[in-house]
Amino acid sequence: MDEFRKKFIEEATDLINALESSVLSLENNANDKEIINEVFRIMHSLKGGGAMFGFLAISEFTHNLENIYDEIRTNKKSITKDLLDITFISVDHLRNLIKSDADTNQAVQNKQKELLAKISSYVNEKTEIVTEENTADEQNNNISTYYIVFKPNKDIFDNGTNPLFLLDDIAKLGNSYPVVRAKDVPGIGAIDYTRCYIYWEIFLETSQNESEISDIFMFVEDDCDLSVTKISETNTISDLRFVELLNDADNGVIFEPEEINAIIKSLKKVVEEPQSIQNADDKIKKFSKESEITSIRIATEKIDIYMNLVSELVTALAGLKLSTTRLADPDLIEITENIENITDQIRDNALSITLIPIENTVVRFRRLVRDLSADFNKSIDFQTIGTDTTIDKTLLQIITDPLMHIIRNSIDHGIEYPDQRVKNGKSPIGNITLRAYRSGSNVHIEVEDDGKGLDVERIMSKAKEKNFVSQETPVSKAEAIKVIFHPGFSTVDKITDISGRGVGMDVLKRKMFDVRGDIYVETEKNKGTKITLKVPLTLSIVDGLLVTLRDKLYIIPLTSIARIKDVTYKFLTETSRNVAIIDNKQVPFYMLRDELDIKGDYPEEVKFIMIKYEGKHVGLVFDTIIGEYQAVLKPLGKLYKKHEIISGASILGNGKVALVLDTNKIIQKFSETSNQ
Amino acid sequence: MEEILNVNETYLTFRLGKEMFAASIEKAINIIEMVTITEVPRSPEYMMGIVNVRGSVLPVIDTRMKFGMPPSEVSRTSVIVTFNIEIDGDTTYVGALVDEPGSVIELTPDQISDPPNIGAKYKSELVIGTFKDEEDRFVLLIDIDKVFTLDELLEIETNTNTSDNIDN
Repeated sequence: MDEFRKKFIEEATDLINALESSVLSLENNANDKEIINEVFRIMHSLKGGGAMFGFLAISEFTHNLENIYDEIRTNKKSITKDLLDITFISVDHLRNLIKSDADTNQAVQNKQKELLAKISSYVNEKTEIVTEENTADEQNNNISTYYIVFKPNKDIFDNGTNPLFLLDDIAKLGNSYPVVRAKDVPGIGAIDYTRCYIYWEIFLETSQNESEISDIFMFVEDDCDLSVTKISETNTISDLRFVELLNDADNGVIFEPEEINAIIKSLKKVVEEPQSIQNADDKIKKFSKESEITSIRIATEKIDIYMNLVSELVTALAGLKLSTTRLADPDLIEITENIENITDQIRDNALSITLIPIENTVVRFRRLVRDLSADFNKSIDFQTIGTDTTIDKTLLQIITDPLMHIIRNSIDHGIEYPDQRVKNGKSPIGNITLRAYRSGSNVHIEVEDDGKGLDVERIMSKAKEKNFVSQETPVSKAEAIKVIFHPGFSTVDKITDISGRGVGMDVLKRKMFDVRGDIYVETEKNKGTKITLKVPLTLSIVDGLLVTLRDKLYIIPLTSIARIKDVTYKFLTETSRNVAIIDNKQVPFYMLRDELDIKGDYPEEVKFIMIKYEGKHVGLVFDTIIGEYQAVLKPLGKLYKKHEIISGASILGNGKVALVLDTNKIIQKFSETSNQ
Repeated sequence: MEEILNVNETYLTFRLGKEMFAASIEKAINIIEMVTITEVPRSPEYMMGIVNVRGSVLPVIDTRMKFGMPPSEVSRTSVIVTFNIEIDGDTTYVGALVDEPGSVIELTPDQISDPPNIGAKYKSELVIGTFKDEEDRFVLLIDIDKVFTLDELLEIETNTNTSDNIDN
């Protein structure tokens, strides 16, 4: 039974989170029937589950709350701010109710009584009904149909592009109908197999916009003729007659725009007539949309096993490829290529499973801004952009607290009071924007406010007072901003319970570094502050450089490498105190063979890899470089948990094991020991 | 004596140097042949490094050193026994390099004698008991969880005197 109760608590937590998120959006769209229904549905599920698994307080509570929303649903009552406030408090209360001590905790019991009283008084209140015809109700799934002509240049194969992969990518955007044009293919004797002779016309119905489609061709823009045209605002390809008409009109050459227009037009005529049928269809669709199971819950253990199997598969494939190349059997080559293609997709898919959208934590921030701005008597508009950006679950957990801290800081110190804002010529309502986007293998999350900005002069005087910077030398603005990352730094004299306790930015910075991320601050007086967190997409994959020390393999994360220089071993041994002069700059360095206790001498020519470390460069000396390598990071396990300088291991295609170096920790460790 | 179960338990024996040891078969996952061990720099000497076991990373421990014996010399009979051990409530896998795998022995509780007294340094909780194997060799039955969760090297060398003592 405990097992079931645990399961229910898990589910209830999700439901309560979903409830909070729905109520938040209800605040902005008070008349949106979809959302009201959603709120009602969630409460109903909570009530049912609560009763079934013995959480009677929950079922009693949601039963009453549900009554109100039932009346709203049936237009007997309307949404008011009071009601939303009650609902928000109820959400918090529900969270307490699923805690194990809920039955015995007197405070929770009292709260239950208090809230139930409020709710029942609300139910009895007579409120005027304000209803609007629900216009937003219309199902609008924004599917359009595009016509794409993709004509690769004949030499597209030269830079390794496979046009078929691009077609695969298009097919992933929606429902596509490609037409192949092969009339340029020369006779069998004249074919040069390194040239591309064919091109494609693709009809695609998708909810994505034009730029998403063009993005697929981003890297081949110069190697092809491409045109993307929107031909209709509906899902035309799903209409069987469209394909039929298209086939009729097809005479082996590229379609004329008029031809396509004519087909679309003739379709429209027929479509407009059977309106009522369409409506019935919609209703069925809507109904099935509700009952459709769109996600399932999977234990993270199972996902871990799956991920392990995928990386085994990737490793096994590397072995297969080696053998295939050796055997040079045409059939085998084809099969291997096919398996490679599938493996790539499985790997991407596996990776995407472990990634979850940032939206999952943003709900909490919305709530935070709502509550805090009320506490501070500031009105704040919190906007989020790109919260569907996905990130590794563990990383999301790691960045949630830092983001929370940053947003609190913005509300407490950044955004001014409304009268102050008006005085400064700003709108009384402050803005905080959370923007997330992916850039390469990193995710950037920015929190930007339009508040008063950091007081750089004040920071400097504080910094001098505390001797964080030298008293005399003038400091640039950028350097001044860096001071806020100094441990123990705070400009606030009075400490509020929200922020200003001096544990802050330095902790954030360390947290970001621990996950191979970074943090940046931009600020402008009276304009606002922007804090950007940069975090890798996942902790389990590292873009690295594969290097050697004797016969041992190591991987250095590419993000930490500044430059690589070929030097002679003699040049390094002739330096004094392990500081080399590289391009007129002093660069301290460490001979890793010595530091890592690897026996034997370096070769004559060595690789001097300059690592970014605290704004400076530090050299690490290796034997050779094998090349770039995308490493699947495997933890060394609990027995090595005290081992800081190695962040994990990666298994190479040939089965060998390479260790992934944590360069920050290495330099930190080595500089400590050499200073002693 | 908290509980005496009259159920037969199964144990895996293995050789380290000249001594025989045994651990509960439930703790042993599998036995793998010797493969190249990748050293992890700056780790304790008894931590030999890591190996690739079908795409996963397994840390390997020089069991002889862990037991206070001279370091292992890899021979043709050497194997790595994978044990699952519990550290802070989590299960983790450890490869133990042993000189030779022994056999799987089923014992009744009364075949196991109480642990011997092996001097001051010996930690009594590490050894569950002793028994004689089919070749009449003296075998120390050890608690694998405790052996591998302790950081320091252990001193559980035995000698013939102690084995005589319990063999009464």
